[in-house]
Amino acid sequence: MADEIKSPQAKEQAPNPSKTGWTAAEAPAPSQGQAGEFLPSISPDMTIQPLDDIAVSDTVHLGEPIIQMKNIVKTFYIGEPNELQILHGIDLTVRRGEFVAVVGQSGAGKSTLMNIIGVLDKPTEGDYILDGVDVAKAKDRELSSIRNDKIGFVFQTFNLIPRTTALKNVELPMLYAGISRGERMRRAKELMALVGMEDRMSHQPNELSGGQKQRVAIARAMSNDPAIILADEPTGALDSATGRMIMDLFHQLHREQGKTIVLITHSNELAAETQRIVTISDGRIVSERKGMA
Amino acid sequence: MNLWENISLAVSGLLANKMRALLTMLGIIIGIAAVIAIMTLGNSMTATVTNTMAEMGGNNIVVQLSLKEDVTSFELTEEDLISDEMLEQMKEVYSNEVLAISLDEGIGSGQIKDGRKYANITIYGVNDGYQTANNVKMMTGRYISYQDQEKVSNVAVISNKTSKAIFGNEFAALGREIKVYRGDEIYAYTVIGIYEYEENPMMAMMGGMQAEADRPTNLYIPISTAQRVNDSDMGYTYVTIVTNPEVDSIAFANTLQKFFEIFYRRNPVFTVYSMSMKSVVEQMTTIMGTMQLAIAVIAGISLLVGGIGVMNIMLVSITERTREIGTRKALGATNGSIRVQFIVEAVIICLIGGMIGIVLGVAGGMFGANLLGAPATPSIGSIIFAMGFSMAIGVFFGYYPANKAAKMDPIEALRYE
Repeated sequence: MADEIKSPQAKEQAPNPSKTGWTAAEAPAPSQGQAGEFLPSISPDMTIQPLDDIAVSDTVHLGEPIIQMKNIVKTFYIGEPNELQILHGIDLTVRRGEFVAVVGQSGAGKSTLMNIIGVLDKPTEGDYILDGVDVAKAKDRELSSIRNDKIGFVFQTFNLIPRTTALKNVELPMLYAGISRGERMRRAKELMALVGMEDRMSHQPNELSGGQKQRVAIARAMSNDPAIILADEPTGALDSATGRMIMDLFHQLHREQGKTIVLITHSNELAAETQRIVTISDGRIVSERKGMA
Repeated sequence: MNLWENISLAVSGLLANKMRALLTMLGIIIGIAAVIAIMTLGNSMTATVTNTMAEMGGNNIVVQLSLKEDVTSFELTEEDLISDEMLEQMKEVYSNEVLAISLDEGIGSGQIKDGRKYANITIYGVNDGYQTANNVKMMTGRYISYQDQEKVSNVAVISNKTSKAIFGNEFAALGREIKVYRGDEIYAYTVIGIYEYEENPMMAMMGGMQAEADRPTNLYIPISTAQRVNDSDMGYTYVTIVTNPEVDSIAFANTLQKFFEIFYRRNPVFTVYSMSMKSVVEQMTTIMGTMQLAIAVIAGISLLVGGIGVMNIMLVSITERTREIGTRKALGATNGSIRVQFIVEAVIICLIGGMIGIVLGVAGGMFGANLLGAPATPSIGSIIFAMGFSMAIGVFFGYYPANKAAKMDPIEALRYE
């Protein structure tokens, strides 16, 4: 969708086997057509269909960067003489309204990068400006409020709070933000409806299926209208059909709500559905490519 | 994070683990219940003792013979006894302080019989001052007088209970003759007065085994008559002195001690010991207070153990909920809000335990007091204190686990399996 603005030649560039080591059989494109039944809007073809116009109009100020990372280095100290450098100078910029995938083998530094993007961890060196806030200089208390306000986490294992209804789970970030009870309820109900869970609001997590849990988790991630949704292997614990539905939901949120989404995955297939694929290996960004979206 | 949300979260957490919650609370429940029961029981016992003592005469001073130090063997002769002369002198010297002198001599127990009707009695020879000292309330007729004493009359004052048992009516005995059986001796007395018998709660506590109808009441005869019956010496081993209400009886007891000691300065064996009832009451109250405190300390240890139990279960709970804590932090919970959440949870455990303990403690204390026949007085103060204290235990023993939760690294916590 952003093609016209950024790089018109991006379309042909999509899966480049030579760079990523994909084989033709693994190419993502064919796997997506069938899933269209769940949500008609998910097909990659949609990028050129009328619905996309909304997204384009939403992303008129696509030039505005939400994540600006410069030379991010992360070193872990394991005992005095040993230090383990996980990230070796990452430069990453994500713009408002973008749907970006970060891919890489396990051990490549994906999780560490995700923790830094999600402000759960601070870089050892480098600058990170998230939605205009210099994260590297923030104190612990400020980090909590940055997470609360600017980031919507979606985890592989859902991480819903047990013994707490789906609706209450969605309310939780708003509770920490100090939003009034009535407003929390209203917005939580709205979000539950958005993810198609309006009839499961008073269910507890153990009464929900995996896919339903992840929908609730996505609604929760949206609740404070964060600058980015940070999804860490969101389909990793789901079967392929359910995973498909969750990916469709992300596409829908991206397209209809103009959400900025960073998807962390080891699956090249899922990554290819996004607008941009950032591949990291051994703590470095080794490639950045246009996705299918 | 809103306090109400924390409370409802804590309660739902406890309900999900009912057995565990109950076992955790047990220490608190037992501790609080023990404290409250002891306080309730102690309060009613103190009240009973104080009332009884006050009834027996708060202004009374008992002066009694006692042995001098280092005396091991002795023989009591008539010269050693407190004599009427000594009492006369005392009355002259301290005419402003002394309201009455009460003398009594127990003769022992006996029975009044009339055909198949009977009443158990305890026989006391008394003087006219006894009524004042012991607060005997007359219903009809009169009490033993100085003249009765002088004339060594065969007259008696009996209780309304005895009157009813023998003559069928509380007042019917007045002016009638009664036969008193004591061992194999029989005495005949004319009833000159009937007093109102009051069940002494202390006696009721101790005499609880005996059927109510068989419990003896006092029968009073002139002390001179009693001395004749006993063939006893002219003198007394103890006397009770009633002071005027405005006199400080504790200080006056010392004065009397010094006064009587003069008479015994030359006596190789005996001296006198004088004590006021007020000081006895004070001593009793102190002893009760000390006992209460000692038991409260033991209960406190139970609370301490209970608190450690709460701390332990909170530590288990935060370990189990590590991922939840990580998630909450990722969603924007500050360390402070995590800390408050777990402290509230610990406080809720302790408060619920405390409330159960209070209910059990009040019930136990009232049951115990009833068993002793004492009025039950659950102390509101100790209930409020118990609530406050259990909350404090929650905060104190919840703080460490809560702080541990608050300081968790969100990344580690989210990764926890």
